[in-house]
Amino acid sequence: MKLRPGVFLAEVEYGTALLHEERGEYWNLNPTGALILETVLAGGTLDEAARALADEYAVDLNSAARDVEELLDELCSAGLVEQ
Amino acid sequence: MKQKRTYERPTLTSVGSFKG
Repeated sequence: MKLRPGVFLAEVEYGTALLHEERGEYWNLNPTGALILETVLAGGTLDEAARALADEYAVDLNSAARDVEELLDELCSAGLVEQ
Repeated sequence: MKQKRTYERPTLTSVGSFKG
């Protein structure tokens, strides 16, 4: 998974900001969302992103996997990432 | 055992817009 062309990341105090340069829009990912995005952009699978969440946070693996899938769907729908 | 951080479900929030 990778960022769509024209989308940039910036670490902010609480998570990560995503800027879509052409559309002039920006979003914020909270820290758990930022960890998911960081994992998949580094080539990690959805399972690896869920495991990264469960290692760092008090969440079970099934819930983490569901949240990973939902967030990535949302990022795709917003036009911020692509396969 | 490692102390785990409190979990917040991941959220993507549209914040606003930006514009030489």
